[in-house]
Amino acid sequence: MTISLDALSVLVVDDNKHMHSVVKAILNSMRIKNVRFSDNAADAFMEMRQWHPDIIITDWAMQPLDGLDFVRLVRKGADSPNPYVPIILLTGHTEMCRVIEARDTGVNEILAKPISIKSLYTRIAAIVQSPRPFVKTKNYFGPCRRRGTNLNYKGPERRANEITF
Amino acid sequence: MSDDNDSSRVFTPPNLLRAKVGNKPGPDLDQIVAKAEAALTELQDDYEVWIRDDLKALREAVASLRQEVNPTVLERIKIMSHEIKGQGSTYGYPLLTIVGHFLYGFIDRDEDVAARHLALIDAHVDFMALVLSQKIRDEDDPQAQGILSGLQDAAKKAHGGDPRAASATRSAK
Repeated sequence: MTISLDALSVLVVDDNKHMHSVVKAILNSMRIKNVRFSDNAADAFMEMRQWHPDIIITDWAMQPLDGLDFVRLVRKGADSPNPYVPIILLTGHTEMCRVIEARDTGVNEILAKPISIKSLYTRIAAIVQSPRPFVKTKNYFGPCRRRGTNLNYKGPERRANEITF
Repeated sequence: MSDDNDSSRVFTPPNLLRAKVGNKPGPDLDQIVAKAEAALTELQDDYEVWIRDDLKALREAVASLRQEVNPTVLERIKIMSHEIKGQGSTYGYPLLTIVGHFLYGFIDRDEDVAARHLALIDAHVDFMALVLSQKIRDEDDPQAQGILSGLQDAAKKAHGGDPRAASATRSAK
């Protein structure tokens, strides 16, 4: 059984208006109707000030700021309206080095284009049902990059400080 | 993740989204997929108009490169081919995704080589136009497979036999 997602609001950032139509059709099929669009990262950042989306879906390949520049602004910008907002990155670049770069920038989920309807639902549901904690280190701020627990790990716990708020 | 050391802090923000959506059940995933596919099918006619505009723009860009080699124009062709890759399958044209990926890879691998083989870029665009005009939705269509193989071989030859050229197409699937 799926969970109802109709209460969610989503900001879609993509410089290709055709993709707006695609993402809108898929989100609407999940009954997510509260969707807004920006065709560049700067406008999206402004939009976040006026409106507070629950989730952001952004393309990677955009100009002048690309999707990862936008993620950096959201996660680390001193004037970010919401550094914790979940971000799903859409990309046609699925090479491992690119995936690692995206992960290390602070995206919650990465989704390959062409978009799979099931995959988009699964990622949104994961964000809602099983959100990962956030981690702040000297060089990183974003969702925890550990996807699993290594039960055989014998070393010291490197994350001594855990805060719930 | 080498920076996950003693200075790291872990925060667990309250799960406001879970509270917001509540416990109301949603539609079955199969229903979501069927509804989305129906909506995307309705957009297919629009897509065919958009993609024809894109192909026209691609042809114009290649024509301008024949007048003058311009890295910015070549980059634009690369980006457009990447966009086509990202959309074709969504609208029921998996071959456009494959050839879009192939064209992107051909240019991305070596832009100087690509700039010297504009006829091969044209051939990719011609193939996309054929897929659209013949409405070839089956990625295993024998005629299309033959053309794809020809494009692969030509790209490989242009890049001096680099085997990565041949593998690029298949990974788009």
